Amino acid sequence: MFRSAVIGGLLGGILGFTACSPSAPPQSASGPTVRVCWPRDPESLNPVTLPNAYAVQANNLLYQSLLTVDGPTRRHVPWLAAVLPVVERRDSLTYLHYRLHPQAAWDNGQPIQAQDVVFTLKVLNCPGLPNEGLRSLVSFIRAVQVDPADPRRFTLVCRGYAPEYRDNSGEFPILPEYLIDPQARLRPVPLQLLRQDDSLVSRLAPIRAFQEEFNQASRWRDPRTLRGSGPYQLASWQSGQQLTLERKPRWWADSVLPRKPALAANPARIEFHVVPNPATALLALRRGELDVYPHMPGPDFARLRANDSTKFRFYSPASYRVTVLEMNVQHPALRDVRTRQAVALLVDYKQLLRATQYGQGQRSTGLISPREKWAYHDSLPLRAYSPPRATALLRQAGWQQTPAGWRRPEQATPLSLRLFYSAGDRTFETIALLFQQSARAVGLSVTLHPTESGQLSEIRRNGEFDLNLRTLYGNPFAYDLRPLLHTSSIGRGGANRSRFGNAASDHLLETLYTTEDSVTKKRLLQRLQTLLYQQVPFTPLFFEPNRLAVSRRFDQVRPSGLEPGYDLPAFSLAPAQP
Amino acid sequence: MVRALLVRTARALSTAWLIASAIFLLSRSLPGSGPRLLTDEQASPFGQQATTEARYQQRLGLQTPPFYFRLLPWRWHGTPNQYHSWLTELAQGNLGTSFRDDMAVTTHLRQALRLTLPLTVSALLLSAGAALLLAQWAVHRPRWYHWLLVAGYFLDSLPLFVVGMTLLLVLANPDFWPLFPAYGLPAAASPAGTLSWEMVPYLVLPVAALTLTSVPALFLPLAAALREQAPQLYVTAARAKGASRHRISWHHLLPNVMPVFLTRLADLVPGVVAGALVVEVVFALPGMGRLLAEAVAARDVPILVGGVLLVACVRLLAWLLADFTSALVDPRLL
Repeated sequence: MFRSAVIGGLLGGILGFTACSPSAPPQSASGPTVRVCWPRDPESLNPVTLPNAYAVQANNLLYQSLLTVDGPTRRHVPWLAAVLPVVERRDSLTYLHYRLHPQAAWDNGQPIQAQDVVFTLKVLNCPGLPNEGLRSLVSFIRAVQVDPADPRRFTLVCRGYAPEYRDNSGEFPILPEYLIDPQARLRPVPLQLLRQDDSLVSRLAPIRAFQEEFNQASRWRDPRTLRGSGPYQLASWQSGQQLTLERKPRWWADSVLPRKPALAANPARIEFHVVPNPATALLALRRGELDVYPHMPGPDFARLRANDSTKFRFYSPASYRVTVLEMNVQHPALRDVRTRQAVALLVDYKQLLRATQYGQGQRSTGLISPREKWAYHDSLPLRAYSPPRATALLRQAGWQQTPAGWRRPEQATPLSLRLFYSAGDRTFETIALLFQQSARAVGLSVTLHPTESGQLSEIRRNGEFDLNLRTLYGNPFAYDLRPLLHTSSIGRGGANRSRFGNAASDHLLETLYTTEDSVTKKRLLQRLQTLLYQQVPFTPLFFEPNRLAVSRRFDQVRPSGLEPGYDLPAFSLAPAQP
Repeated sequence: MVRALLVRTARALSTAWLIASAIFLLSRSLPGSGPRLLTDEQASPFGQQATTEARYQQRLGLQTPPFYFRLLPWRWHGTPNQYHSWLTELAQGNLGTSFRDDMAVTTHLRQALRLTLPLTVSALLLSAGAALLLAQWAVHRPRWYHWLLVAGYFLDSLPLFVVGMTLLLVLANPDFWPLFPAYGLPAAASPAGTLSWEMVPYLVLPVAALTLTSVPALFLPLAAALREQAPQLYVTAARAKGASRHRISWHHLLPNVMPVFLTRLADLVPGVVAGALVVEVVFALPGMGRLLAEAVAARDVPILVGGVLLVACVRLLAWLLADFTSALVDPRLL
């Protein structure tokens, strides 16, 4: 009797639990609910902090900037601005003339005006706030001139000139003063004053009071404060679990016609579910508990595409993330360019693509994506895996093959290269093992050093490595490669970890930065690509694909190679299949 | 006895302080161990990187020396140092704020514990109960004891990840029996909110995974100790007096093996607050394990030190309690 009761109870419980299992989300009459998989939490939704790509994605649904990027066309388009800014160069300054959209308004109905842009720039330049990243991005803006005749017109006055100013000037979120600084403490403080020495500015009473208010962590979790001019508002945020955004019942762009993709906001509710384990995320997707799974691991993507193509659409556009094998050009063994060329010839690129990207990545001769046809130097041949040529180059560089390995006459020990990479990264581990195997085939010793990421950063910064695996994030808009390749960026001043460069390459990078004419820019870019191809401070392995699976319930995914890889506000329900 | 308890408490507290201090100082002194705004994948605008990093360090208060002095070469820094500030705040019960979102460390810990405690406490209680019952049942059944021993060692050798994934792939898989939710918590449940019955189906698989992997740690030593006690003379005497098998097991054998059981249980108690990282990752639960692991990855030292301090205190408290209870059972142990 007791046993029957226990079994009955267990069965009842299981059936009850099954009934509790999540099912398809409720669809509102105003739009669908989209459930997106995130591998990690955004950590902070403070619009001036944005610690990771997920925070940026959520922020772009809550706030708007002057310009935005249209993923599929890979162009900047107006967002809060009515049109793209007019660029004017005068003396040593650049003037960017903006006009805000005539219908742009905050949620309280007040129009978004030039004063809001001034306020935003003051917040971004205010010391003591967690704004360091954005502050450096807008550091080229010296002042804002508001048009006294039209409160929606303003001019950004920029130091010097660079073609990138036009796009970069419109990339920061515009903040509502009425919510962030209701006491208007920053209003009397001029922008120029905030750009002065931090220690002086921080002593001012209104600044101190503003810092104290702004830095209250609870504000950036409160839907009443965390509210911009974007189409969505915060519904709930359970850290490490779920972030839910809801469509505003009335958004200023609802009445804008004709409707452009940048001003679309179709889903009524967007849920971001934090699922760190890829196997769990795949299971949830297959159970219909998730609708969008971006950045899928290669094996899961291939398996799902083979087995579940009736339920999901699959996309894999090449991203602007390139994985490179970086070489320390100042290391004695790698100082000779022929040795570096030999190392690059020992990478079996095709095998790497098959083993790590399931054949989906895109090869390249340099840092520029082959998708950017105007800039990509397609006359350079893709480097091939060639152990015989590598052996010949090593001999030319003065290395002699001995039973113990490759050795120079004056050296006591044979050549042994240390390859560093981030521990726990499966892609890097596979690449490292395959490279070690290829090098061993010609008698070259490579030792593998999987290293904790913080320590790895320090090792790279101090140039204490021979070889290192690294992923670089690019975009199709800016070709300012000085942070990566200029000699001033070696060490703590930038991200030049290969320690490559000389006066001529620095000059080339500086000229490239300031050149606007596309013909000249293309010529300079090709020169730079040729130089990097010959000097081999790194060898690009592949551009990663943005693997994306989306439920067939949805249409208008607009996949792109740019982060996040899909246009969430454009999602709409697909017409029912007959 | 009170004096001994006080001495042990004082020792435990000073050990916790030493552990937290060591973590704090190591995290601030070792190269590459501090938080950085820009990773190797992110480049600041040209010429801005050093200034940007310096501003970030300044805001987090990392520009002052880590300790009162530096050994090599010798230099005295005095009280304006990071350790002194941390200790002063700690003395006032303040563990600081997270480097990532400026939220109080205590808020982060509280939110994570709201999820972790129901998960780990239920797993611990289930494990303890199951281990006691199984060990008592098996001690008089040599054949079953043998098979349970094999099963125990097998389970003990399985990594928690494998057990969790197996449960998930069998009991939450649309291709097998999708009986339980695959991940997370119900939408209405929040780590900051109250616990509800809706959470139960979401916790079944994680609790089962934790219980299955914890039972052998308690069962194996307990069963071995019981087997060792079974041939003792006092058991024979009890049996000769006509005591039932049940009475012998629970009234004669158990008190004699209790110190073994309590010591093993005390070893598992810190896991109650440390969370179960693997289970939390597999089932996407935002508990203590994930909080601490993410804090390590992000170099969020205040969260890390706060978490370690809490775990260390609980571990020491568990040892104290185990000592105290063992002494109650057997006063010779004090």
